[in-house]
Amino acid sequence: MAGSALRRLMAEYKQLTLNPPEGIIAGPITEENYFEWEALITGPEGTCFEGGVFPAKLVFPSDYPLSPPKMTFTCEMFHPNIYADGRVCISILHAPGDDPMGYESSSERWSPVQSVEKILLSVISMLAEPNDESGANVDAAKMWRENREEFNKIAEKLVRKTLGIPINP
Amino acid sequence: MEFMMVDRLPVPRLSTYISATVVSISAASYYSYKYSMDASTPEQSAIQDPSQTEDPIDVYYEQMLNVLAFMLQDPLCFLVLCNGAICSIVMVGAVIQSLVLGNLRPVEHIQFRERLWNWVIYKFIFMFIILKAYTLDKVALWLFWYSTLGFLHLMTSLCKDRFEYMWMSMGTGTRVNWKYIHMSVLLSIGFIFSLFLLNFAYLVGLTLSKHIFAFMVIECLMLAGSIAHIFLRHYIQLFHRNSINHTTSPGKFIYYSELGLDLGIRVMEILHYSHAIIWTNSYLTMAGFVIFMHMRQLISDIQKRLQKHKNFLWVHSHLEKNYPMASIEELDVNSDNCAICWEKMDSARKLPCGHLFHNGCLQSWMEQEPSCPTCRLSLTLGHDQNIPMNNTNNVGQDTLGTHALTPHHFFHFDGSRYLSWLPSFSVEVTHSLRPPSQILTSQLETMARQVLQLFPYYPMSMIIEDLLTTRSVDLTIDNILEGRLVSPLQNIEDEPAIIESVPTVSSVEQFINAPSYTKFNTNLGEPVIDDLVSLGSQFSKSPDERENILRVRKQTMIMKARQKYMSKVSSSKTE
Ligand SMILES: [Zn+2]
Ligand SMILES: [Zn+2]
Repeated sequence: MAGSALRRLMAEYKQLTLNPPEGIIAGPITEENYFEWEALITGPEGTCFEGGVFPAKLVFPSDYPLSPPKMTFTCEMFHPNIYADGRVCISILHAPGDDPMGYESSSERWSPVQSVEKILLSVISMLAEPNDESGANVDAAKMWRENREEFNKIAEKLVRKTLGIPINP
Repeated sequence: MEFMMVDRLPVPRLSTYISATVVSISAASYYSYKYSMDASTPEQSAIQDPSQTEDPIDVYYEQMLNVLAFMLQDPLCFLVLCNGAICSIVMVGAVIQSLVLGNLRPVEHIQFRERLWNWVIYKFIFMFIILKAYTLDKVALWLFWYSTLGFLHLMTSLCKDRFEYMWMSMGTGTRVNWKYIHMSVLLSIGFIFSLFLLNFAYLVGLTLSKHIFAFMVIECLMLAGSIAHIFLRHYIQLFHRNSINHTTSPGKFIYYSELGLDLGIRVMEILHYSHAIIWTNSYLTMAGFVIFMHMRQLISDIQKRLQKHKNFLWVHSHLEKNYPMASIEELDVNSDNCAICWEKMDSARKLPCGHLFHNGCLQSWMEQEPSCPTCRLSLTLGHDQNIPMNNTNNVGQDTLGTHALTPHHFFHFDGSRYLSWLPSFSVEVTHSLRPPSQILTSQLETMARQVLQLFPYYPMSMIIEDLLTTRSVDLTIDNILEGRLVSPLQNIEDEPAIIESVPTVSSVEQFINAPSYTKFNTNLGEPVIDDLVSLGSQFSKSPDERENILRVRKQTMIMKARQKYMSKVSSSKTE
């Protein structure tokens, strides 16, 4: 029911504001609609995405937290676990019932004890360590496995793009 | 009934429609005026009685009546008049919409358009194929009936969408309450109107035929049912929003009346369609096929709803039978909130794994998946006692812990800081220390100023960029003099088109020198940004303030990331 979902989202927003984890900012896009959030995720240090600030959109279902939100990056991304349209494919965002990849154990899936914060932390670890078994972006997965240097170059370009810094000649 | 192409059909702008209607009506009246004059002139000339001088007003009146009678007889003019009547209903609808709902959101607009076309197309089929409205008076009757009914249906669904949207926002204040009241009044009026239509069906439909009467009654009841459904759902939403603990659910009566309405509306619709098909004997026609498809959809909806209800009953009895409510001592020991809704537990149901949840929260999760939300212990019968109690946190920790086990530890997250059931990461953070680039930046800046004094038309960023490679004022000046460095301003005189392709930011250093880069600058000004340390630990009660703080936090994050990146780049460049 939207009423209890709303209160839970409010509580999560409050927690994320008062106690923000490093490198994460998240909150509703407008106060008018608590079911659509924007999150900024800092690329983890020591990885090819280091320094970038990646914006993503979270859309919550009206029965949240019983069902997981949907997460899409709104910036250009190149990553084995992110679809070309920005959709994030990690196990924590999959409802217990569906298993499109057929490889996840149900313990990694969504459950109401998960939260926005845990999703975003999982996404950060996903950025650091792609899971090249799930092929949301096959090209990226292949490049990650076979040509890491090229992958890092692309990631560097994306980082610059998110910061609004032109690519140097 | 869903039609595939409907989303591509445009709805004409209201003003266009109104003016088209006005034009068509005036054209029709002019045409019929002329025609009726032509028809009556020979008559009048034949009578030619000078002694009988008529009152000019009477003549006028008679002419008007003539014209009107003609218009009612001429099919085209008649349809134009009907369109005029529909247009006035549309205008009333537009006024009500702007008064009660204000501007429509884009989503509402699209949905409205779809519903409108679905209604128009479907009722058109119904009118001519099922009801066989071939005479003018029948057309008028059904046009009146369906436009009124459609008007009420569309208003109802608009209100429904708006209600659902409002449940998603946090707003409470008086303004929002007024909106709720406005919409409730509108819906109540709609409900009363549906009763009026029922009365109309009794007066008019019954004189035509019993079948038609049945159609009309069911259509009215469906409208009334959907309005009642909205009210009920609204009540349930309010209940969920305002109930502080989740121990109670809205109650059996409410649950069953919602279920009843849900099923009732669909059953009525099925009856309506099967009646139509049987009555007109149109099993094998196109219309029959379309209706059959729709009925199949309805039946599967009903099946799903019944399945859901069965599941609800099963979970309910399963919980009652197997898992006792937690005792007061257990609640005292457990200081955590309910992990599903994050709210305090005054009473809770205890699972065999030792985890506590609100009864209502657990019920709604179990309807989806019968397992403990925290530890994933399966809660189907027979598995209850197999898993030992001390297993509670391990599985949950694996959910996120798998990430922590991998060699790249880069983030610190201590879950127990917030709630005991949250997992903890073991992390090592590596900070590659870089020499501060401030000295370098200021040096560059003074050098750039020197060059700028000589060549004021060159942008600062460009000069800095060149200085980064030459590292000397003289060399940069040489570059400019020899034309190796071309100012974008010079290009304007030569080829004005080029200026568009020149990026507004041409140098990385510009960000360091100008931290409040226009793209990310807001009207908030810098003092707010300076207060950022305090902003992080503040959750304002006012929505506007919250929004502003969030925006500022985001901007600051991007800005800091950019500065960090710049200093990294410049330090690696000059090495
Ligand atoms: Zn709860
Ligand atoms: Zn458990």
